[in-house]
Amino acid sequence: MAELGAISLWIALALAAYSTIGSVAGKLRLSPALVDSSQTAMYAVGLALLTATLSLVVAFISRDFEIAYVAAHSDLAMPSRFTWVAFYAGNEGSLLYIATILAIMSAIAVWRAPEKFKDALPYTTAVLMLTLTFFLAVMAVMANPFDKLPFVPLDGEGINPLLTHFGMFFHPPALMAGLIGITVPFAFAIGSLLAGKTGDEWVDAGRVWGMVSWVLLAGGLLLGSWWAYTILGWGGFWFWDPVENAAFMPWLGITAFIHSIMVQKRRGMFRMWNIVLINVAFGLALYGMFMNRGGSVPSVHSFGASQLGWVFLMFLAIGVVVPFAIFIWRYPLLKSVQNLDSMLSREAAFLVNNMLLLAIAFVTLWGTVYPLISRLTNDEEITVARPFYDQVNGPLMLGLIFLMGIGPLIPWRKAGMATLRRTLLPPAVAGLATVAVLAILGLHKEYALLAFGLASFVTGGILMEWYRGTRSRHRSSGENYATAFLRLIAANRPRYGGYIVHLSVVMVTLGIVGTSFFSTQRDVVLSPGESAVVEDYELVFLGTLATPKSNRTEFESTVQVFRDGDLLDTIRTKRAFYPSFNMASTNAAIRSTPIEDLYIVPSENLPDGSVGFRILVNPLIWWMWVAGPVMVLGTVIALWPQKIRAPAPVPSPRRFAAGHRPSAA
Amino acid sequence: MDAETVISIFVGAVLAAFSFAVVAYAFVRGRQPLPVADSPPETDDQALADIFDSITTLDLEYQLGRMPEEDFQAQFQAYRVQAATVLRDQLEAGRGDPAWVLEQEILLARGVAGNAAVCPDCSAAVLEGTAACPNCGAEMAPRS
Repeated sequence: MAELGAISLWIALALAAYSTIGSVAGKLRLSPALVDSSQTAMYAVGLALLTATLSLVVAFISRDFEIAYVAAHSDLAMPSRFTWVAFYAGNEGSLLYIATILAIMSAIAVWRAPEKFKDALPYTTAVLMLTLTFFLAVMAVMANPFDKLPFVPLDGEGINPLLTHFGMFFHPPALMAGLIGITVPFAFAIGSLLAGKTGDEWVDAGRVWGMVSWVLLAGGLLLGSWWAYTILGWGGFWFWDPVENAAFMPWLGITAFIHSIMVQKRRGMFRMWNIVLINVAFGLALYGMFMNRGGSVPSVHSFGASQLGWVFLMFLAIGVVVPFAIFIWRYPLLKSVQNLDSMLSREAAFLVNNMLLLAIAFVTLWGTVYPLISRLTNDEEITVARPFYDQVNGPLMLGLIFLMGIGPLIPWRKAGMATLRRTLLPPAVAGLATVAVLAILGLHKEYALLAFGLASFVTGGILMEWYRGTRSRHRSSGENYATAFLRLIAANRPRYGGYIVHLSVVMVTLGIVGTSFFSTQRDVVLSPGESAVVEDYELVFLGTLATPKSNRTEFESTVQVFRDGDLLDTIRTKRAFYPSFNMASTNAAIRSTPIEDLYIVPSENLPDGSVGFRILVNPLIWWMWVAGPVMVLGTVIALWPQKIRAPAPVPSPRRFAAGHRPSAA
Repeated sequence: MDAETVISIFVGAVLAAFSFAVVAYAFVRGRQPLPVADSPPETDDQALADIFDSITTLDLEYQLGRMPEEDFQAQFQAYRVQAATVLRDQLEAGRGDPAWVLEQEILLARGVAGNAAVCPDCSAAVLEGTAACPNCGAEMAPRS
């Protein structure tokens, strides 16, 4: 299989390079055959990479330890289901995964490109294939997953124990796909600029692929948080680790982009700004990939000591400088067809939302690179920790949630005071009532009160919109409320799908606020039969069972949970020690309810049979994990294709000469 | 060389030959010339979307009192003819959904008399008297 994989990789590299050059040459020389051929080559790259991927999967399943990558990331004891995880556990395999995903996304994006964009498509193909050529070249020359060992070892080194978790099946692939997925809207933007199509031709494709990347990144971040929460054993889910930040920043950039692109779609505004945003998002995605592969900051997420760092750094530099040069070249053509009519308008709210998102991204970037800057300037590395991010990003995020509440409720162009009163009053009342009730109940932490109030404000606004729309349909068409509600959502999927995504963000907010302000932690050492009290829970430790396995020893501790004298649950928590990795992994026992999680993790198993436990009560975190599926549902609804019927552009005070054929721009 | 290696190399060679064939195929078969930059192809739906865009804009101009009724009617008539032509072509070519075409024609016909309303929320063109916008569900305010 090593030969087939390596051959497929080289074929893919040749095809991608041909497609890059052929697309541009064909377009410049007006050679339709060359453009067609280059596009077909792009589809063939996908086939070649799928063959390479299949080769590596078969090599893992057959435990072909002659291949160095297979020997390094699996062993005979590894269950077959972890083949998928082992595939991208190292640099070489993850690069192959990224390249395959980019090839598939490119093929679908070009195949489904809007008819009006066809003229610029060769340039978009070239950008996509140039990026892919880079990854394939790095793989072929520096990190080939099909390199062979000079001898065949009897067993492999095994998979990293931290990766043997359900979350790992989705977290890394979703994040990697999200990061590389940003290339697609970026390629549409740059293709559009190169072709001189500086209008709105690229907007639909840019929006759709921006949202695809967004949901992949968001899902990946949430799954990563869940993985950290359940297996890393410290009871938290976000550490502001440099590589976490490296995935968070592109998500911020693409979030700004998918909001801003709606303004261009609806009003023909922000044309320059959207190009800048997608360039920034792409640059941040490249930075994320650089950090993963030999970035100068050590992290639990990075692929160890890698020689690829400088190559990715160079690619990052080129990927930032060249697109901005193209932008400056086309700058004179990038004129919006409308101006901002009023600061009290939806487009103004989107603009402020963009600013806040970029501010959070900048703060996070600053915190991430500050240790490097301090090392270069003072010969002393100063690490920026969580308090910095909480103090600076916290208020910015609250501002963002506030805008999330008002943005969808105020009209395009200009809002009158009467409209504002009508739309904002009910959710504002809901928010203030929430604050009042919580304050009366004894909650006096200002930030938490504000966050809960804002969450209520956003939810109130969304529910009000749903109610009004459903009631209108019910009254006008006689549909029952359930049908009216479903048809309301189906009639304007981007809008109502977006509302569902906003609700999921509110859920995430609840989880963050609950754990940040109201979490209780206790570290105890218990012998069998002893108990500990945390909040209103009493925990009785019954004992530990040690079970030797082929590659580890598992310690399973059983704990009874009582509240008010009643037995609520008997839970088991695990700690496994892997001698070959000299590493322990933990599986927290979590009793989860919408109100709070009881979280118990064994931090140490002592020789006398006692166990060191970390016990936490984390309020509201349940909502954070439920938010993931809700977010995906909202995005799927927003992206679900809708037949063009009566279009809904925003009227503008333009005049047309009689009989003039209007254009969409 | 063992059998697996031979098979791997054979499959790799087939993949290479197939890739070369599909890439070369474009040069063998005939193809329409590349579209000229200034005249992108338009589908019926896009053409209709453009015309409805303009009608909506025109209606708003008129409603805001920025356009005399005479000009409004003249321009609206011009757009109506354009839209009707597209719809007719669509039906004749067997591409359109007849119910949808009929719905649009009624909308256009009603609009000629100045009865088309604009949704205050999403700005879709809506029949006068409709309580809720069929596009976004927003409540339609009575026309003043």
